[in-house]
Amino acid sequence: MPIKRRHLLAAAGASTLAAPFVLSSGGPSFAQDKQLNLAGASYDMRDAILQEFAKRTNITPRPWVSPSTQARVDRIRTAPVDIITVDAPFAAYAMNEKLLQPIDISRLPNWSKLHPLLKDGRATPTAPLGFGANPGRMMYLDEARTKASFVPAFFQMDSIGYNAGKIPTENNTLSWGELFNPKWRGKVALYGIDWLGMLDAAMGMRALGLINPPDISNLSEKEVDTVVAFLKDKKKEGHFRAMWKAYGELVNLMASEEVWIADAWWPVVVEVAGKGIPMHYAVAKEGYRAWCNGYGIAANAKNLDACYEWLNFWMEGFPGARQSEIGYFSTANTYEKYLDPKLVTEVYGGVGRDGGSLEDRANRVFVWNTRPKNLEYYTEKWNEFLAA
Amino acid sequence: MGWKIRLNITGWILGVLTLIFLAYQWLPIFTLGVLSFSGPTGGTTFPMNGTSFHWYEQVWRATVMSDFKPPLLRSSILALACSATTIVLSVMAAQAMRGEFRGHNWFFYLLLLGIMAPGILVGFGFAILMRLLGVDLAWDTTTFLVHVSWTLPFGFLTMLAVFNRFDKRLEEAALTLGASRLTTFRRITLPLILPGVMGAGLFGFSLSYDEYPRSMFTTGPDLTLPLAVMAQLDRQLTPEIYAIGTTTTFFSLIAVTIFTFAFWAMRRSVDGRRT
Amino acid sequence: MSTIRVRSAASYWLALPAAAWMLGVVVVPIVLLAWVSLWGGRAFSTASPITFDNYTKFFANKTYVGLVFSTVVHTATLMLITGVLGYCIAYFLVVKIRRPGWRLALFLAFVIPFWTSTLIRAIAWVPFLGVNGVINQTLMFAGATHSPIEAFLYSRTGITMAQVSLYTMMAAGPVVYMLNAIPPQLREAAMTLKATPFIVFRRIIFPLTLPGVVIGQVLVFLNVMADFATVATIGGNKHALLSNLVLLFYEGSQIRAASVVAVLLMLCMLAGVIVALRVVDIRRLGA
Repeated sequence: MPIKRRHLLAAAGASTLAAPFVLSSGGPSFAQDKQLNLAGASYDMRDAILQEFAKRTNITPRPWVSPSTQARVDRIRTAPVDIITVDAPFAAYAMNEKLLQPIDISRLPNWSKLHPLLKDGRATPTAPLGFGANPGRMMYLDEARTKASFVPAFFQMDSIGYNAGKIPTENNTLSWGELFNPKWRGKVALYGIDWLGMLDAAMGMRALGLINPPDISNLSEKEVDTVVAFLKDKKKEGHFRAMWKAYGELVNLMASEEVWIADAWWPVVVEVAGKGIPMHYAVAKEGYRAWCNGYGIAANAKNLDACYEWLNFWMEGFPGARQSEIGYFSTANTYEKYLDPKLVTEVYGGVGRDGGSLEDRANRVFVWNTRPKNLEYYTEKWNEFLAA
Repeated sequence: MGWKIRLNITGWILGVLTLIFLAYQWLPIFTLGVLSFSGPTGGTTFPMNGTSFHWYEQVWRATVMSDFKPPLLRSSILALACSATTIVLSVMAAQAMRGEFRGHNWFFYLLLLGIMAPGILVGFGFAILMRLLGVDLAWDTTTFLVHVSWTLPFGFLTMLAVFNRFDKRLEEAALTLGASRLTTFRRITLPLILPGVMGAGLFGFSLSYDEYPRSMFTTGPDLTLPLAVMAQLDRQLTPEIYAIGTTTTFFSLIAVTIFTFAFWAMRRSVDGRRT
Repeated sequence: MSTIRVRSAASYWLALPAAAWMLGVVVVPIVLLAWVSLWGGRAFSTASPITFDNYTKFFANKTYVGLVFSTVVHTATLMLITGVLGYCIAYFLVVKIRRPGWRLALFLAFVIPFWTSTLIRAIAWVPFLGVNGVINQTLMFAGATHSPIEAFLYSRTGITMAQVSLYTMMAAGPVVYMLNAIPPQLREAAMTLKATPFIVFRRIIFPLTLPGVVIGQVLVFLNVMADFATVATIGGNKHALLSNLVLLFYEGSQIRAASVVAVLLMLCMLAGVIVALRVVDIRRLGA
């Protein structure tokens, strides 16, 4: 007995002294070299893509996921990040804050294969530019177009996702105002991150004639107040079932039929429809909300070559094809060799697909996702809405 | 005899209440366990669509995005380290309190601060401190420091309670018989307070293992288990998370059983020696 | 005499590691947060001017001030429910159950869920409370309701229900401890002196367990005020209490606002604990 106790005490003492050494000697971690630190989202940090990247380049991707672009940008300040998933307005913001470094386009051989909507800012020379941060206009850092703030990877035009079994439509067309239709009280979900939720709400309110801002992607403080007051009223009425931030959350909400209509994204529609619920993506009566996500290189990225490997990997076609499978369009038209031809006609040609082809959608863009100039005011008021 | 009947009725009411609450507490966990065996197409509520080990297989199969084995390992190592550190520091601190040094009241409140301060604050503040100092955040350094600040007060309170009940006369006897203070502590005090020490160790382990608000801000790129679970919540809520929940519960239970058994065995050996 | 001389140097040395640890990891960060909450300007820099602007901005916002109150009210509700429920359970366990075997078994049955992660236990409530969840399915099966009750999930009710299940044992634990310390002969003695059971409870047992009650309430208070995960998960991201607000501002990279809310949260907690410590001296625990 005494022996056991003495051993125990010695062990306790030794382990306390040794603990810091044991812990700092590594524990479970990957090889230190050949790593790529990614700050991404759940809709692009997907296993198939990450595994293929690791296989082709022998670089280990280390993803950190957050649904909030602002949070990802902030992460560059506090943690080692090499590549960040970002869109044009946030890339511009990050550039301003010196968190991103310019990307040398000459190192990207597939740049010319970008869809004109992204490369030049409009689908055809006469298509509308749309309000807000048009990536084709924002991403170039110089007149000669040799440097960009981010590389566009995938894009889509968002509208409203709805459960066709519960909500009737004509020709699969819904107005953005349908989100606030009192008939669906308690069955609505709205996106929970400030700038995007506010934008979707503003679209709905504009469709209902409640506001008419000159630039819906950059609401003035008074306009923000109006939107938030309206939202607070709706919340008090119990109009919203829940708010969603990551697409998995909305999939759960709609698959369990707790929510019938939401400002959804394509992958949600694909997954919920796959579970047997008749979910559809509506054609937006007032026009789509377009967005384009891509990758920027952090200012203090450790392994620049690995970063360019990642960028080129995305433009080469494999990830583009995988993203097409969940409903996103690949910005570079290199995806065809990796995608089932039937899916190509479905997704891009619009055959049997909600909302029509890529061309149809690209021609009906109303606004682009934008980082509003007074985002801080947005955040303050949005938090009020959540706290009410 | 009126009050005897009333006593009985009170007893029954309380009993029913207790049992209802027991069910209330257990049912969600029980449902979690049952649902974790859902069939491959099962969602996160009933119907289950068959039974299978599919979701456990998913947990086991490592993918880049949802690999729970490294976080499990990290959490376990971290918890063990916390437990050991908590034991040593809390015994030292409680013994110091017995010395009633000047300022021991402030010392007591200082330690209590660790329990009082919400995890988000400590984590947030510590992360800012590290940012100002230019120190990189990592699970094995910064998170370890913050975890101990959380578990130490609990261990400290446990040891205080143990020392409060402790019979000083046994130490006195040894000291009057010529033993040095160190020897007395080692051979008389320690064996007697060992059950309390086990309690403190148990606190250290389980509190660190389940801790997430402090970890959220201080782990850097590598996640601990609760953080991995939270990250998984953001993605699709599948029964896989129930499988994880059931598995981690199982591991917790094993750890607690080991500790409790050690506690009980030591208590018995100590009591045995006394008689 | 004891193994440590009263007021000796040895006690300072023994106390040093723990004190240094807590000072460095808890006190300094909190002070830092207070300092950051007073930063003017917009950049993250130690040279920022000191100003109370962030506080005036916060308190000028009626919704946020209302949030502080609703957080306190929510916490008080939880404290009341868990306090009463916890006391009943503790009383039943200690006083009404004679056989120690049963007592241990029941006690373990209550404590074991505690050893599972709070996060998992909170998550487990989601499939329970939802429209297609177990509670609604049972109610409809039993014919009590025709359509599912939505109010259980993504609402304050749901949050309260989940938190009651999570924290009642914290309220009960210290009470069990104190009840155990009361010798049963005390009750018998009082009753032989013709006191009714109710008087026995009110004038003897309850006052003796008061320290345990207060400690339990403090534990519940601290945990509920700091709990953001349950509010976010079961509230459906729709609800925010004070702790959630810290995170929301942090994610919006508004460090100053986040620090202001953090400092307010800390002040509330301090106030609660100070009140509690006036009532009971926990250093005498176990004596």
